Parts: sequence; C-alpha cells; structure tokens
Amino acid sequence: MARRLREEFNDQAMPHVAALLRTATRLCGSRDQAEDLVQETCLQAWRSFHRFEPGTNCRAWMYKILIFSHARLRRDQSRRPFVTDIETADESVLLFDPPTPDTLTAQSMRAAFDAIPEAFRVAVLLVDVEGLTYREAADALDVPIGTIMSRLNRGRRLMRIALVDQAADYGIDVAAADRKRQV
Amino acid sequence: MTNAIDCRQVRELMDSYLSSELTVESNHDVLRHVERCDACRAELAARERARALLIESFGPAPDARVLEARISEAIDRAQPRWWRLAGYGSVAAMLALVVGLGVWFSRPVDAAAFDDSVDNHIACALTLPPDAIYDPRRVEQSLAPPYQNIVNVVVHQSGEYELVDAHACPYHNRDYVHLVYRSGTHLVSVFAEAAVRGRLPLRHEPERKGFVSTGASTGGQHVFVVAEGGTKPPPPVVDELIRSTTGFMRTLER
Repeated sequence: MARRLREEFNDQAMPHVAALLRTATRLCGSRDQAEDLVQETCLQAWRSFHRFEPGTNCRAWMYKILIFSHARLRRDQSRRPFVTDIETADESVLLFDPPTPDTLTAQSMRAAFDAIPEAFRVAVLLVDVEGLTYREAADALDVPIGTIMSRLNRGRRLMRIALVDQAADYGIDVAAADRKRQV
Repeated sequence: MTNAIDCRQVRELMDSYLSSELTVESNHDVLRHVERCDACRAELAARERARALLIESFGPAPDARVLEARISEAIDRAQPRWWRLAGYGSVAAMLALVVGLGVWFSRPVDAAAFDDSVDNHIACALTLPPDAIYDPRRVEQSLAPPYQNIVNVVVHQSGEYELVDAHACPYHNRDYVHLVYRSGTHLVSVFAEAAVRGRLPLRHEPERKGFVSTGASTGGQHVFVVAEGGTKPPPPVVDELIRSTTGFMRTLER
C-alpha cells in the first residue's frame, strides 16, 4: 500500500515541483528559501496525500499548500498578517485604466510587477505567469473566485499604471499614443 | 452588430480573454470587436506581449532535478513512524514465523500419542463402575502434582456429559491426568499430558478399535478427547472439553 501511494504521489504531485519552485522563488525572493519552501510544501503534501481525492486538481492542491506554507513562514518570521489592506487599494487610482505602452521590456514588466501590492502580485503570478485558472488560483489562495477576479483586475490595472509612469519618465505620452492607434 | 460591446467593455474583458476565462459568447463579442477596432486590436496585442514579457522576466523554469531528489530523500526519511515500525514488524513477524515453523517441524513426532490415548481409555475409563459418581475426596487423593487444581478449572458438565472422575493416570510411560465424563452409559475420556515425546503427528487414523481420539496441543501440553466412534459427543461438547482442559494446561506453562 505504501509503495502504491508513493508511486501515485510521484506521478501526480512531483511533476509540479519545477513550477512550484519558480513561484516560490518569486514569493521568497531567494532560491535557497524557495527550495526550502517547496520541500516543506511537498512534505506536507505527502503527509496529507492519503486525503487527496484522485481525479481532483493536484496542481491547485499543491499551490494551496505552497501558499499556506509561505503565509505561515511569513507569519513566523514577521508576526505580520500575509494579507494587509489590499482589498481597499486606492479606488481613485483604479478608476484610471491606461492603455498598455508599446515600448515594453521584460525588465519594465518586472519593475511594474514588483511595484504592486503583494496580494495582487500573487494573484497575477499564479494566473498570468503560472497559468492557473481563476478557479485553481481561488482554491490555492482559499478565497472566493470573485476575490481572485477582483485582485487580478486591480493588479493588472496597477501594473499598467506603473508602466505608463515608467513611459512618462522616458517622455512617452501613452494616452496620445493610444489616441494615435485609433486614427 | 446588435448588442455590440464598446471599447471600454472590451478592455474590461481583455485580460480574461487572454486567460481563456470568458464564456463562448463573450469570447465572440471580444473577437468581433477587435476585428473592427484598430485601437482595441493594438491594445489586445500589447497586453498579450506584456504578459509574455512578464513570463520572460522570470527566466526559464528552474532546473528542479536536484531539488526533486532532495525532496524524495526527505519523504523517505519522513515516513510515518508507525509505517516504518509496521514495515519492520512485518519482517520481524515473518522471521519469527519461519523460525517458529522450523523449530516446530524439527521437533520429534509423538507418533503413538493418539493410539495410546485410545488404549488408555479402553484400559481405564471403561473399567469405571457404571454407578460411579464424582467424589471430591477421592479425586483430591487421586490427583498428583502439578494437576491437583485441574478440577477447579475445567467444566464439570458439558451438554449431557458430567464429570465423574479425575485422577493421575500413568500409562505406557506417560503421565496423563485423566478426566472421565459420562452421559447415560456413554463415557468420554479427556487426557492431558506434557508434550515430552514431541509434537502431535499431522495425520493419524481417524478411528482405532471403534474409538475416536481428538487431539489438541498448546505447545508444551497435549490434550485428547476420546469417545466411542458411534456415540461420539457433539462437536460443541468436544470443543468445550478441549478448551476448558487446555485452559488449565496453559496455566502450567506460565
């Protein structure tokens, strides 16, 4: 029985290690911490694997454990709650939805990504980078799907605002460029 | 286009479109709009490119092979303790079984055990006076160590069979303790002895001289129930007589 369970774990859970490591690296900021986090995630998943229902989404389940383990790690380290007041991000700012600048680089995207609040960043990371569905991301973060959609909407919009600000620093008028597109 | 959505609505839906999270209908609405609208088509392309650049900014997927090996080792070490103990326990139980069977089969066989019990039944129990009744004083004087207390442990009645005598019963160099039960004119003997001559044979003749002997072994002791073949007591009675006698014999092994 033990051997069969281990084989199932190897087949279903272990293929997600690389993706988990990439996400964990973004969450932790360092490769060493990310590896520890992924190892802890996999051990936790293994201890609970007898409760995992075959046929359900193992990837979302693994991400849920990863996010939970990371939140616990952060709580232990900083005694700070993982989610702050992100749901009440400045609404007046969010009313503005600028067009995406044409002049983008990976570096500018990373800078914009790093500039948004963490909870938005995690939602964007899971969906836009790791390719989780909204449902999977909601399961992973243990929030309603509407919350995920809201965080994604705000996170993406804040990133566009950050990109426009960067473009303005380079003297590029994004709004004018957008108007030009419509001509 | 009826019910056409405008640029503001399309831009609200654009990211969900890129994530394949729209309904088929909304998907078509977005596609129909961007076909006609250069600005939204350019915006959609820009967002698609932005997403690709964001993914690119994280670099290629890390090589996780070393980490996977580390995790596998950690899982091996983290096997639940009971699981490991169960694994060790299974091996230990298997070894004990093999050793036990080896020891058991290497013991000598007491080939005459069943025959002697029948012969002693004929020689002793059948000579008991038909009107004999259980006499505690006679029984106390007739029992020898270590069997003095056997009558305090075994059943005195099982079904129609009643204990009428108990005594030390040497026979063919065997030190039996002999219990005699009677139902009407039918007699049943229960013999118990230390298994000093070896284990019971796996097979024996089912009937000898018209009598049947049923044997049981506790390891260090043997117990036999002997009855006439044609009027053998029902199995529950035989079982109860064996069980109550082996129960006493086990107390001698402690």
